[in-house]
Amino acid sequence: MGIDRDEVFRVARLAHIDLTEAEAAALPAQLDRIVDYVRGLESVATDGVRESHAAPATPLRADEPAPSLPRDDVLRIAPAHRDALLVVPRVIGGEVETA
Amino acid sequence: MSGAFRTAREMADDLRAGRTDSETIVSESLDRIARHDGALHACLSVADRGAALEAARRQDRVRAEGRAPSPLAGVPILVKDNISTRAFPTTCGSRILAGYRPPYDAHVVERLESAGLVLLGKTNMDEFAMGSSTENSAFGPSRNPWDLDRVPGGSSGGSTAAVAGGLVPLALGSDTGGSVRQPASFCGVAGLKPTYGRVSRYGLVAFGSSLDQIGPIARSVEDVALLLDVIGGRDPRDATTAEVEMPRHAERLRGGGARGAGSAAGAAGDTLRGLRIGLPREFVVDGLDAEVADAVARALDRAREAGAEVRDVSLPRVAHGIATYYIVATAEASSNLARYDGVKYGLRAGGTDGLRAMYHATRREGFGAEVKRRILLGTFALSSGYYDAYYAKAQAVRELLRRDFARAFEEVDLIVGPTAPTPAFRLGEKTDDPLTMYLSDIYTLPANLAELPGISIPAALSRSGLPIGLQILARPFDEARMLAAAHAFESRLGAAGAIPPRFAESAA
Repeated sequence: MGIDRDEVFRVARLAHIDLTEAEAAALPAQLDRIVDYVRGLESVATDGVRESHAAPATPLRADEPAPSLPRDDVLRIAPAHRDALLVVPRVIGGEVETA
Repeated sequence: MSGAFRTAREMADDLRAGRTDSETIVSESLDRIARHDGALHACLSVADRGAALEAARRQDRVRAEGRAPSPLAGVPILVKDNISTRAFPTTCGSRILAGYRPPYDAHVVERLESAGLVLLGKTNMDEFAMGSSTENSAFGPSRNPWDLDRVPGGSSGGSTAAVAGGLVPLALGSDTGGSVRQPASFCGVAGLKPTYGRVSRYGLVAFGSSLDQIGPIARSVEDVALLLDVIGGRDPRDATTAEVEMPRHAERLRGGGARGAGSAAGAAGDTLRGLRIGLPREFVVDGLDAEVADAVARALDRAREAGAEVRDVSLPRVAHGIATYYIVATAEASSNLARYDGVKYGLRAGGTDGLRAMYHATRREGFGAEVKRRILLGTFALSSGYYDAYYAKAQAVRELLRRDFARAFEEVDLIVGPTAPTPAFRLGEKTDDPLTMYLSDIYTLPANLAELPGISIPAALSRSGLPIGLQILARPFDEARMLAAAHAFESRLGAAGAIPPRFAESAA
């Protein structure tokens, strides 16, 4: 089971990326070769293996409210905003999500 | 040693003794950037001269009042362009973030500022740190100071080229699979990846969150230690920073630990005496360059002469490191890079009808080929029907690799080997073949998968005059022992501080 053109388009749709014609032509073979290589992992016995980590534990902070970034600083870097709202292209009445 | 190629420690000593001031050092650094960055393309943005000199004069004033905030106060530094800075754009080498200016500074940038370092700009990198050559930068590749036809390595190649070319004594990079150590090896400088949890990633643009660490790059091991001491330690804004002791690494190198004072070589001998060093059998692979293998063998001979014991160790799962990494890292990247959607910041593609079409077009226009390839691979590995076969499998192999290292570290104190299988390759040599490019990370990415600290130091020059790096790995949070050994190797190998020929005449 390899990665063919249809599979590449399925995954690109999930990742919200339109592919150019050149990418659509090159990617199936490139990804297929990489996936074929990583399939080498199948030869490693891993039954019942559980994860561990170097750090003793993840320290948690107290659950207390704290100020976030100033709203104006965040709005200033948005591609489009009006008052305190981010502006995006039309959502409702457009095409239907199908993936 | 000439002015531009002084170490940060030498600059700090000159500043403390009043032999120079920060304004002079920063001015010289800006001159060198102006003169050489056309050829190197190490920088993506450079500080305004007036502002940088004013920052330097501020450090000179507080020093004159006896209030220098750290030994490195007044020393210039460059920072990789995936580390958020209010004062400079932070592009990650990507069109999707061209011109993006973060509304906050990364934790490490705040630390640099508190320590009085003068930030001179941002360095080039493979887009979103995905690459081993800087050829994936949307803004054009950086060049290796030792041979301008060759890559500096990557992804922190701008940072290592800048330090090797004498533009600055210090730089920060980030290392997800070797992105500090491999370019340090290619450029003949020292580069450290700290233990996962040692340095806060607050403000580091995320690539592989279970792998990413920020690390120092410098022309000496002592400088690396000095910079680690500035940036390391717990930060409540990055929950993965560990609550463990943060030693003063640089002080330990300066006389602490070694018996008696004596010469550098004498102190080095003390550090290596009785040390158990492991050489992994699995590090001998097809594609390991003979000169690299020789350089590592000679370094181990020096260690034996100094009283270290070199043992064979086995890390059976290292052979699967690349496959494991390219599932774990791409899966995490596909999730982390979902945030680039044209809504909150960065590029928005115009002329689209509807929100979904805007997402798709923005990501088509904004991401380069390698980033798309990795997002697609990661999305594939996480997608329904494939998750267990790829992602869950890779996580399990990762755990076995971690155990391989834990077992080896019961027998040895450090693991030593090559940093990269070859010296720097030529621009364009590997761009058509992603998998071959991935193979250049074979020795570095096991440390990321196992969360270990690793350092690359210059070991030798090849017959054609290219740097070869030696990698040292240690137990989690044992940077102190690793740095002490690296310091000892450095003084015995004599390869550190070499100046690339085309930069030597202009070094004064």
